[in-house]
Parts: sequence; structure tokens; C-alpha cells
Amino acid sequence: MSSSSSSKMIELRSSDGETFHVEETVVLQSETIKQMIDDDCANAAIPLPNVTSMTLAKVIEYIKKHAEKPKDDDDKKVAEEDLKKFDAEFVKVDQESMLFDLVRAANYLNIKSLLDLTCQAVADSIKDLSVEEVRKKFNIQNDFTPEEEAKVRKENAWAFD
Amino acid sequence: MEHVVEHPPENAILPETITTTLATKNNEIKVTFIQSTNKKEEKPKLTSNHSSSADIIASSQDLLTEIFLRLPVITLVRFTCVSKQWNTFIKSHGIMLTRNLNNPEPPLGLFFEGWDVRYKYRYVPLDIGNSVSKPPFKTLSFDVGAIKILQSCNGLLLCVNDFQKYYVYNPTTNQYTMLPQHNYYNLHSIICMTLAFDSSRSCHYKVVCIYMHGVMKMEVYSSESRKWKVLNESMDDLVDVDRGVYGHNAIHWMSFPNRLVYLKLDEEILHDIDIDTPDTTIYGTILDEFLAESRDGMLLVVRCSTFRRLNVYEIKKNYYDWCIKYYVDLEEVIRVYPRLVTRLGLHFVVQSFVLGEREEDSFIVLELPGLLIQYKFLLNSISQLRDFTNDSRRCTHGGFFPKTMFQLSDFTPENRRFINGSCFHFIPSLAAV
Repeated sequence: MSSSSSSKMIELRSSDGETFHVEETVVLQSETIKQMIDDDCANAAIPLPNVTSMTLAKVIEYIKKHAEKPKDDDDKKVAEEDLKKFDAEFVKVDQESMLFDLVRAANYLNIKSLLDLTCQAVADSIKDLSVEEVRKKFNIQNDFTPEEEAKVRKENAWAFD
Repeated sequence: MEHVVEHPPENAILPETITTTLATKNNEIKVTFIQSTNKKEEKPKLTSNHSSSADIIASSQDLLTEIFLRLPVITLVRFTCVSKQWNTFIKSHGIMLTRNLNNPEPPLGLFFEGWDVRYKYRYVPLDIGNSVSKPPFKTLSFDVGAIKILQSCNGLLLCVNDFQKYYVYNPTTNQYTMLPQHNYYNLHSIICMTLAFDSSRSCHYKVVCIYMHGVMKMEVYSSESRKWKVLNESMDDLVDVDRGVYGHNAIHWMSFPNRLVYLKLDEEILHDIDIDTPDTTIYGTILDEFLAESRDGMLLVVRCSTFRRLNVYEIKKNYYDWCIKYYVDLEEVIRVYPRLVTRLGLHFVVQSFVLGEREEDSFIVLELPGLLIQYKFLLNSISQLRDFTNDSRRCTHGGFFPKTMFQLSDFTPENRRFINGSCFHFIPSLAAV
């Protein structure tokens, strides 16, 4: 089987068992899925064991928007602006965990533009955080001894306010 | 059929293994880092396992790289304290994490050579977001002898000690390397060194040495080969060789009377171009010119006698032409600091010119008698960086450091040539030296 008709639908199944039907042209933005279609492995529903239905719904919303093609050059400018606005709104998620889930999904599905967008959003959200806040955000255990941490802090004292 | 992939996939990060059946669950996890054992859940899991996505990101080198690439260097320096894994990762990947072509790191502060104690540096933070207020160093003591800064170039400092040893030093990581002697080394003949470094172009730096060997000869050192190479070019003696400025992969020097000489580092050939700006019939005598680099643009800040403003020109990257980039009107500065106006004209020195990431954030740093100010000329906003009349009783005439310990009458065009831009940018960088 090969990708022929633009209206061909691909079925995706999230980790919690929900199925989504997406046009093949849209879903090809995912390099991972594209590879599977090329390898002829997309005859049945594609299982995505790392992506929950909530995350997958967001991802599909994103790739659908990014698959829209402007008709002419005038349209293109408007569409670019529109897409920028969409992207800015897209990463304003209520739950912080959703942003992390999206990063993970974008990486897993290999959608470069979505990975760029979500990683930028994560970077913006942690840029001004303290060391303690970052540990909390990423569930990182501080494995420095107090002496070791004091030493590292002292070496870079100028970077701390 | 039509492909709708918006970005070329070559650069995309591939999950570690993609199997056609997706049999390997969690295949994006790279188990290079020790997983956190501290998995406290604070919020109910509404979407998916929060800690699991956060954990995966925090322990995946690929994903951390993607995020860290988008952080300012100062944030990364702070994050070396988060955990041992992050510490090792940031330190060992240094420059890989800062190759951000579109957003070069802005200078966070300026180093001024101290006027009271030899080789002591005063640090003045610039008024920008995320600035650093504590000085990264006051004196340079990484090696023997009194060490002096010669030049700051995109995060690295070129230094010399009083035994004529030359160093490339990274003040962010506190690492340095001593340069080997060039081929025609002679203790008494070194004229000057200029550093060329741009992490968006290469993780290696070059140093150009100009020295007298019958004529003014040149050698180029490359940190990649760790060797000096003699060039076939020689410099004429009208060139102001001790004030080289690096930008678009060339080193630029001003030459008397109105020429710009530049060495393109990829072809290692000297070129020159006349500076025919501005029109002196309109602007009057050129009082002073200051060559600066910002955001990889080569800028010439020109001060003329007729107008109370500075003309800022930019040389095009093909070197065909100069074009006017900004007129920096000084009326607002004069209104706030009327002491600028003296019977000998406007009394100030241009210390720095920096283009902002947003154009309106571009600023100029001016030294007035006893004051250092930062002027965002497009927003017409002035911030006083330092009032150093109170710093010391001895420091009342002008200067923050020896070169501007001038009386008003010393502010002649000839003197100004040597005191413009005599501070050094502090730009955090994780570049290895």
C-alpha cells in the first residue's frame, strides 16, 4: 500500500484506547508515522502507547492547523500571521503537565515544528526560575551534598542574585 | 501526493529507535541519567502522568538539549546547581547548548580598568532584563603576574600579563588557555593581538598578531590547529592596529585618515574601503569616530561638529557601501544632563554601542564627566549606570579609569580616539578555550 489519495484517512489509537481519524496528508507531519506508512504498517489503527487521548487531541489540532495551505501569496502573509497567533495560543495550556506531555509527544512522533514550539515554551517558563523551583518542576532530586552544592554555587556566585 | 511537512526533517530528533510496529514501549527514554526517586505527586493526574513526562524530559539528553538551547547562558550557569547530572551535562556540552544563531547573547555588563589599583576591574551592570549585578571578577588571577584585558569578543577575553604572555580567558567558566609564541616571536616586537570568536560560526577562535619584522607582518593562530601561521599580508603604519574589531568573520581596523582596513579570516587577505561618510559640508568637521560590532553588524559611530547628534553607519556585509543606520539625537541627554555642554563643545565619550534583539532596545553607553549612562535612543530613555563622582574623592574630573582621567581641555579629537570604547563587554558564554 502506498500513500496515494489526499483524502485517505489514517487511524491513530492513543494509550488509553481512544481512536482518532486523521487525513493522511495531515498526519504525515509526523516523521514517525510517515515512516510507518512508508513501511506499510498503517493498515490497521496505529497504536501510540506513549500518547494519551488528551495529548493526541492537542497534537492533531496542531497538525491540522499547520496543514492548511494558503491559496496565493497575499493569503500566505495573512496565513503566516494567523499561524503565529495560533502557535502562541496553543502553548498557553492550563496544566503545566500538558506542556511536558506535548514535548514528549512531539519528540516521539517526531514533529520538528511542534517540538521547537513546545521546547521554547518550556524554556520560557523555566528561564527565571530558581534552582529549587526547577528541581520541583522536573521532579529532580538534589544529589549534591550541602558542601558540594555550596562549592558549585560559590564558583558561579555572580550568576545568582 | 502533497507533503505537508513544514520543516525539513533532517534536523529533527529521532526517537532512539523507531520500530515499525512500535513494539518498544517508551522508546524515547535514554537511560543515561539516573531517574529521580523523588516522585511526589502534587496535583491529581488529569491528563497523563505528570511526573512521568517531566522525568523523561529531565533525563533525556536530546530533550534537555532542545530546551537548554533556548535558554540564556546565565540560566544554564545557575542550572549547574540543580543536580550532578545537569551539572555534568551543561559543563560537558557547553558550546553545543549555546549555538543560537538568531539570538546572540547580549552583553550583561561592562568591565572598566580601574584607575586606582593596577589591573583591577570595575564592573558595571547594564540596564537590560536578566542582567548580572555581581561582578564575575575584580582582578584576573588565573595565572601569574598582573593580568590585563586587551579585548572582549563574544564571550571570550584576550588578556596579557606583565611577562608578555597572552591568554584567551572565558570569565563565565573561569577557564583559560595560554597562547603559544608565534613563529617570529621577539619579546620586544609584539605590536598587538586581536581575538576573533563567534560561537554561531564556529566553536574555535582565531587570534591575529601584528608585529614588526622589517615591516608590519601578520600571523594567525587557530585554536583548532593550535598553531600560528604566517600570512603574506603586511600592514601599513597608518592603521590603528591596537583597536581591531571582529565582525562578520573579519577583523577591522580604522586607518588614517578615513579608511577601514579589514582582514577576512576565511581567505586571509587584507582589504580596505574608504569611509566617505558623513558629508562634511553638511555635518562640519568629524570630531570623532568609534568602530563597534553588534549582532554581527559593523557599525561606525560618527560625531560631527555641526549637530548635537551621532550618526551611526553600518558597513554592508559585502563591503560595497556604508549606509546610515541611526541618527542618535543627543538633545534628550543634554536636557537631563546639561553639564554635557561646555565651551569646548559636548563633553562625553562613547563607551559602547549595542543593537537590541528588539530594535527599540538598542542603546549607546556614554561617559559624561563623572557619570556613565545608557541611552536607549529609539525609546528616548536614559538610565544612569553609575555616578562615580562619589566613588572616590580623587575621581572628580571625569574618569572612571585612567584613560578618562582627563581635564576638559584634554578632550581633543586626538585623545578621544584612544578613550572611546575603552571598556570591555561581559557576555556569558560556555565556549571552551
